[in-house]
Amino acid sequence: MAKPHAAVGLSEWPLLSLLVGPLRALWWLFSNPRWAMGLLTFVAGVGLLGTVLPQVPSFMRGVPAAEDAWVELRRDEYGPLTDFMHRVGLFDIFQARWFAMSMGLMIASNAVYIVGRIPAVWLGITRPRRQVPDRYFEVGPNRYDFPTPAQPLAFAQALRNAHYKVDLLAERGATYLFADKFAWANVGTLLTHGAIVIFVLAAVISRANGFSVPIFLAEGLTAPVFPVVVQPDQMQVRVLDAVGVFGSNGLPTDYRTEMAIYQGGQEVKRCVSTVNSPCEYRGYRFHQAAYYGYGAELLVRDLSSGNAVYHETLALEDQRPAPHITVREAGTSRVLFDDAPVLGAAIGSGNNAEVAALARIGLEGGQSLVVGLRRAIEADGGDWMLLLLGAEATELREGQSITMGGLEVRFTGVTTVPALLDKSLPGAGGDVLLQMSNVFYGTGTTSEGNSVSAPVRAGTPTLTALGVGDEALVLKEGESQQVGGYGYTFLGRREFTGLQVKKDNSDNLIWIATGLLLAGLFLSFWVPRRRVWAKITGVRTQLVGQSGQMANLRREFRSLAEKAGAQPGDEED
Amino acid sequence: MPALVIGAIAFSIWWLEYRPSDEAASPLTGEEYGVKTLPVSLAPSGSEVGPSVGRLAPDFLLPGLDGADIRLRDMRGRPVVLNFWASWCAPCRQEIPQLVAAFDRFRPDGLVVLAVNVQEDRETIARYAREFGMSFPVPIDRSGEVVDQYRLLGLPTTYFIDPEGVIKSIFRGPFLEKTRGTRVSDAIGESVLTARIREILD
Repeated sequence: MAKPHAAVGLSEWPLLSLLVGPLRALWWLFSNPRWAMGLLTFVAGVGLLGTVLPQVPSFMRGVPAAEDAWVELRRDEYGPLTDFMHRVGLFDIFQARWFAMSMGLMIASNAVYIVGRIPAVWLGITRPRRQVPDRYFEVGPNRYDFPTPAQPLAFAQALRNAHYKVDLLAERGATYLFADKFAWANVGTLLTHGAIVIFVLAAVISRANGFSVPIFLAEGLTAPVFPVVVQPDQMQVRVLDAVGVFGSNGLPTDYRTEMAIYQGGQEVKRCVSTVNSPCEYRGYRFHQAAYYGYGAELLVRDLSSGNAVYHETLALEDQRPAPHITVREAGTSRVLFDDAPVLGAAIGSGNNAEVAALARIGLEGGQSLVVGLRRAIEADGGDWMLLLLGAEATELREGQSITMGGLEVRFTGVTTVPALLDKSLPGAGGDVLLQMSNVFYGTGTTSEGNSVSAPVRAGTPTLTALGVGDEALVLKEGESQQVGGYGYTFLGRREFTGLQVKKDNSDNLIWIATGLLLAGLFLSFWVPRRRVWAKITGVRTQLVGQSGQMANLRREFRSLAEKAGAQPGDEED
Repeated sequence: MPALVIGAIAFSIWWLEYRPSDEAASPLTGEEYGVKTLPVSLAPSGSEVGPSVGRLAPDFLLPGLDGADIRLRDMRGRPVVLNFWASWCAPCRQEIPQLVAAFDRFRPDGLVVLAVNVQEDRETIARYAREFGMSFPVPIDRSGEVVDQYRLLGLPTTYFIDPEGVIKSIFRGPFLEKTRGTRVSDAIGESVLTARIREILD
């Protein structure tokens, strides 16, 4: 004969009781608010410590030699504590296992809280309180009382018509009625709490496993994705084409990059990244993040061996002024020159004044003009002045013209050309000033046929190098010149692209958490649970209800009473 | 059916993640590329192997750019300049002409230059090698195992190994002396690179 169910206890199952004891203790611990607060305080404290103490740079992480070298540098500051701090992970707190564990415990604590509430919420939904004490009809916050009896069945029907679930109970000479609507809305708070737990979990995963690195690269160049010397999964990205499309107002309308991704020495993907659609490979997303339009690819060969000794794509990040000059034939007004010549390096400066080196402008018929640009000292207004050198040197302000030697020269204004001071060009005695002219910012002609506003006149990109040899070295795109045993070739203008390479395994969790949060908020605020209790006697109808703050129960009660054939009269406070 | 599905998934994971790559082993000998243990004859008892000065240089077998296998221990008896580089490393690009000039100058003395490329594709390496006139062997460390073994802090890094296989010195960073205002081939006259090469030649 089987024993009665109640007689079966854990003592009958010693192994189970051994397991249940610690589990109960663990459950008690995780549902203890003090434990939760303690964890929160600990995580906040070490988080603060992580921002105060120096942390191992991400690109050194996982490279033992680099980490050791970095820790050695900390020894001056932390002395004998250095090794201990390194061992316990104080120099890499956010990657330390114990930090991840404490975050995990915090998540578990939250999860236990949520799970602990589930039975009560479930009971509240499936077995709600159907009766309230009579006194509640006198003191409840949302009550309605009118001195005529409503028809209980008609009232119940009115509630059902309003999508309430209704129970009727006759007792002690009165009819009690309970109506419930949106009972499942109570799950909303659980969903919201669940969302918070998943958000924290996603943050932990993102912190532990997330990856983000910026790459700034010119067309034709390759860069490694992981900024450490070597990595088993190392990838290289090569920019095949960087495109920057600009509107007629000069504002960008599109940036995109055509790229090839290499891994293990093989091209594994070829794709295009745009601002809204990153290229993706094995979970790594290559986001289009930036664009820079002024780059120049320069090759220098040693003429004796024929070998390249310099091959770089330079970002011309500086700017040099260039005067926009228009020269016309005085008699006919025929335009002989209309451009912004590249000037030489500054030959004098001081006291807010700068004298630029000169440029020689070649005109038709073998004529030439020697011009220079000077910024007047501030006392004179600080304006740019165009120097016209000849038999009689003269100066023009912006907008001014002069007629000299049968030529009408107009100084239209000052524009700029992209430039760079290079310190490593072979064959140069010192710094070399590189200036690129005849280029405009952005991809000139795109598949959409857009063109851009140009700071200088567009044409064949030209690179002017000052500091290689005695005279300026002027190279059009694709041109080579020999100076002092070296061959200099301007391979062409190149555009740079900025990519942000990211990997975050917590992406999906974020979406789930966001969905839960929205669902929870929607349930809690837009469809709050409504419960109505009614007591109907032969002379009186009393209603009381519970709902969210936004629901106007009193108005609803009045409407329901009218539909039930009662005469509610004036509303009672 | 479940077993078939599990098997297919397991095979896919192996195929994508763990299958040996085409270039993981030598097509000539079938031997796997990577770090190798020095035989006792080349690493007598008492000698230490490791990537630091005074120790025997760790041995490796890597595929060369020209298709031939390159094994460090085969260079025993000759001074070796072991350089680690990549085309994306700007200081490496600046340094390569120095190495090329040094190799041309000291090749008659038996100098070996091995320029180990770090994890790049063959086409990129070939383009740079051709352009910069790298006539010395270019082993390709596709997995990065050799770089790991040599505990590199950054690129470029150069090890100077004497004919006995002992690391005499390590130079981290590029050799850039005297590149300005003069010809590269002249510049190496008294450079650090030259001085270190002389140490392993003597």
